[in-house]
Amino acid sequence: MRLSSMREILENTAIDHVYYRSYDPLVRCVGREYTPHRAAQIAMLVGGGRLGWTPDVVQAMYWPLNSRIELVWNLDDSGPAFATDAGEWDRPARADVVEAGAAPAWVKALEANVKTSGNLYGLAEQPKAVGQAPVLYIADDTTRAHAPEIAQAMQLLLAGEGCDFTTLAQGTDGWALYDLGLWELAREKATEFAGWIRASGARTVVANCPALVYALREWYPALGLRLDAEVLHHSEFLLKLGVRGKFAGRVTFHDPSYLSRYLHQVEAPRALLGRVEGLELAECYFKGEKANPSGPLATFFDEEYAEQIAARRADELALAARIVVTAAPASKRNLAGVARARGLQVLDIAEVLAC
Amino acid sequence: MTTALSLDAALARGEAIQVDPILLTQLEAVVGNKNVATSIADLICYSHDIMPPAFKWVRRDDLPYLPHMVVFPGSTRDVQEIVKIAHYNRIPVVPAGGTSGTIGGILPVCGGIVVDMKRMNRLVDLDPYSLTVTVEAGMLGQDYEDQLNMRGFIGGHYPQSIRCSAVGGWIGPRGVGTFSTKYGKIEDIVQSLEVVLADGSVARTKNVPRASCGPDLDQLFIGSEGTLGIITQATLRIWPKPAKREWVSYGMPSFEAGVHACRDLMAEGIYPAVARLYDEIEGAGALKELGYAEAAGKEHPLYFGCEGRADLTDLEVKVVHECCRAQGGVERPGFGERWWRKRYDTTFLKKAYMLPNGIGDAIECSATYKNLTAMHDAMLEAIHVQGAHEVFGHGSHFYPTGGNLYIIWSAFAADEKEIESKYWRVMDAAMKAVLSVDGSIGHHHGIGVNKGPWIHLDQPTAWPVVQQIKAALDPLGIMNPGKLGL
Repeated sequence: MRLSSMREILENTAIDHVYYRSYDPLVRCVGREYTPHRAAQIAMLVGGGRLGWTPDVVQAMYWPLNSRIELVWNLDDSGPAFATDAGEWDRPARADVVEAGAAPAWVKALEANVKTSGNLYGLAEQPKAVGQAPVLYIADDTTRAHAPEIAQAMQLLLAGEGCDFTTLAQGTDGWALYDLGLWELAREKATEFAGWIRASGARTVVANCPALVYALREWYPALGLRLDAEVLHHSEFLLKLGVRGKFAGRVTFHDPSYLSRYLHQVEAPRALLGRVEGLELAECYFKGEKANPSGPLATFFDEEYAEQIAARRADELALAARIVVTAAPASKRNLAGVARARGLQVLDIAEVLAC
Repeated sequence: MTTALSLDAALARGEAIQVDPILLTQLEAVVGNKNVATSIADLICYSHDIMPPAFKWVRRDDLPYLPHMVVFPGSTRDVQEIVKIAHYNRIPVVPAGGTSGTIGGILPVCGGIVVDMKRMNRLVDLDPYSLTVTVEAGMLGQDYEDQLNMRGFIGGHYPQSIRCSAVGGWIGPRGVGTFSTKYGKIEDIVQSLEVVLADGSVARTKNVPRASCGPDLDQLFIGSEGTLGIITQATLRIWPKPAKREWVSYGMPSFEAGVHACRDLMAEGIYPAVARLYDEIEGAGALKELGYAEAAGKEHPLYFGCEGRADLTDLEVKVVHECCRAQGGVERPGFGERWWRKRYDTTFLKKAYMLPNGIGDAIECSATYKNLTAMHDAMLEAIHVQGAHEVFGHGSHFYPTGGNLYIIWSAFAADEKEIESKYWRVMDAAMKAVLSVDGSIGHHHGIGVNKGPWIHLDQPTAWPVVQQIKAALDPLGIMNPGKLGL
C-alpha cells in the first residue's frame, strides 16, 4: 500500500498548524469538515492499519474536488497564491483505494465509460486517424460532452484566421483517471492520446481545457510521454494569433483553477478580452490566482455540493457584471448550471471572440 | 449523560457506529439524512482541535474523544429541534465551527452530538448606513471578511485563524483579532446575538448600539463557549475600508520601556490598529533578519500599524514616534511589514509538535499596565523551572488600561506519554504565575478543557455566579459539558 510509506507527509498535514490550509470551498460552501488535515489523519489511520477502506473512509479520500487545487491558499498580499500540486498524498490514497477494489460506484462507472467508449462520459465515438497539420486543436471529452459550443467557436476562429489546423476530438487524456486513482487505465489512455498527438505532426497543440494543458505540459513528461510540440491554452494561442473581436457589453472574467493556480496564466485571457471592440471588462473582487473556484472538473461525487460551490462563485461574479466569461469547459458547465436563476449569461472566451 | 467514544471503542463496534435508532430517525427528520453523520470518518473529524496535547494523540493514532454523531443544521429552527431532542434524551451537545480552537473547546469529552454550524453560513443583512452586518454563526472568518470586502467594508477582526475559524467560534471563546487595539475584541464588535438555549428555546438580543434595559445578555453569552447555549446568528459592527495604513517600528531598550510607550500612547487617546511588543529573545531573529544584528538580544521590537483616514493616520504616526522616542526607542523600520507578511506562520509551534517527544504552546493572558512586565518575567521563570527548552514572549494587544501577553514555549521529554504530563506541569506553573501578579489566565483563546482546572482560581468570588447561571440555564448539563470548568 502506498499510504503506509507516506507516514511523514500524512503526519505533517494532519498536524498542521499553518492555518490557511483549511480555506477549502467544500468547507466554506458546503460546511463539511473533510479538510486536508482531517483527511490526512484518516489516511494515516488507514496507512497504519487502524482503519480499512470502508465506504465512508473512501468517501473522505474522494472528497476534494480536483485534488485540492481548488483551494485558494492565500487570499491577501502576504505571499503568492499556493499553486503546488496538493494531490501529493491524496492521489496515492485513491490509487490504494482502487487497488483494494474499494472504489466508489461512481468511479467504477467512469472507469466503465472509458473502457467501453474511450471517454469519461460514455460518448458514442469511434476512434479514427488524426489528420496532419502544424496546429492541433484538441476538443477534450469534457468540452465534447458539456460545452461543444466552445469547440465550434474555436474551429470557426481558427478557420477564420487562416490557421492550418486539424482537430483531435476523441478519447480521453487520462488526467482525470489519474486523479481518481485509476492509474493503470490513466497511463494506458495517456499513452494512446500522446500517440494521436504525435501522429498529427503538429508543432503546436491547442486546448481549451486548462486541466488538459496542465496534463500535457507537466504530467505527460513525468510519464515519459513526449509530444514534440508546444502546448498552449486557447487563450494563449488566440492571443498569439492576433485574433480580434467585437462584443458589446460589460463582462467579468472567471479564472479557472487550473489556468490560474496550476498554469499561472492570468494575463492572456485578459489581454485577449482587451482586443475585443466594445467589450468592457469589470473585474470580480476575487480574480486571478485568488479567484474562488466554480466547482469540480468532470469528476465529483455530489452534484448538490458542486452546485453550492458554483452558486457562491456566481454570486461573487454577479457583483461585477451580468455576463461571465471564462476559459475552461468545466467552469462554463459549473457556472451555467446556476446562471439562469441569477440572470447571468456564461460564455467561453472563444465564444466571445467568435461572436 | 453519555461517555465519550474512543477510537478503539468505535473500531470495536464496527464501521457502522450503533446509535439509538429512534434518536437517529428524529434527527434525520429535522435536518435530512444527508446532514446526520455517524461514520467513523466523520467522527474522527471532530476528535480534536489544535490544543497541543491533541496533536500528540494524532501522532499516536490515539483518539480518546469521539462524538456519537454529527449533525449539520441549516437554520436556527434546525438547531432548536436538535437541542430539544438532545434535551429530552439528556445527550450532550457540542457546537463546532471551524474546529480551529486551541483549548479543546470542541472536544466531545462526554460523547454526544456535535452540532457543526458551518452549513449556517449566510449573510443575512448588511446595513451600510448603520455599519452593521448580520450573519449566521457558521460562516467562516475569511468568508465573512471576503463578503464585506467585496462590498467596500471590513470586519476589523483578523485572528490568525481567520481562514479556518467561524464567526460563532470567535464569539464562543471571546476571541480577538490582530487589529484589536483599534477595532476591539469580539465583545466590542458584537452588537446583538441569537442563541438557542438548552431547552430549545431561542433568545434574541436587540440590535442597538447601547441600551439601559438590564444586564447586557450579549456579554453573558460571549465567552460562554457553548455551555449556556448555541449562538446561531450575530450582528456585528463593520467599518468602511481604511484609506491608509502605515507601519511604525522601534527597538526599545527594555520590555518595560515598550510597555510604557504603549501606555503613554493610549493615554493620549491614540489607538493604532496593531500594537505589538516583543521581548529580546523572541525579537532577536527578526532583528537579525532585518539587518539589525547588532541589536539582536538587546533591543525589544515594538511596532504599530496605523490605519484609517489619511490625515488621522498621519497624526497617529506622529504621536507613535513621540511616545516611542520618549521611552528611549530607536526607529527600526521593517518589523511591521515583516509581521504582516508572516502573520499566519506558526512554524515554531508546529516544529515542536512534530518532533518526537516534543510539545509547545502559546499561552495568552492579560494584565493591567502596572503588572504586564512582572507577568512576563514571572511566566518565563515559572516555565523555565519546569524544564522548558525555549520560552519567550510578546504582547500583541494593548488597550487603555493594559494588554495581553503571549508566552511561547517548547519542551521535550523521554517519550510521547511523558511529554503530555510535562505539558500539564508547565500549564500549572504558568497559570499560577499569571495569578500571582493578578493577571487573567485567558485573554482570547478561551478556557475549554485546557484551562478549566484553573478558572475557579482566576476569579474565585465571581465564578460561583457563573456556576449558578449555568445551573439555571442548563439544569441537565447537556450544553458542551466539561468546558469552562463547568
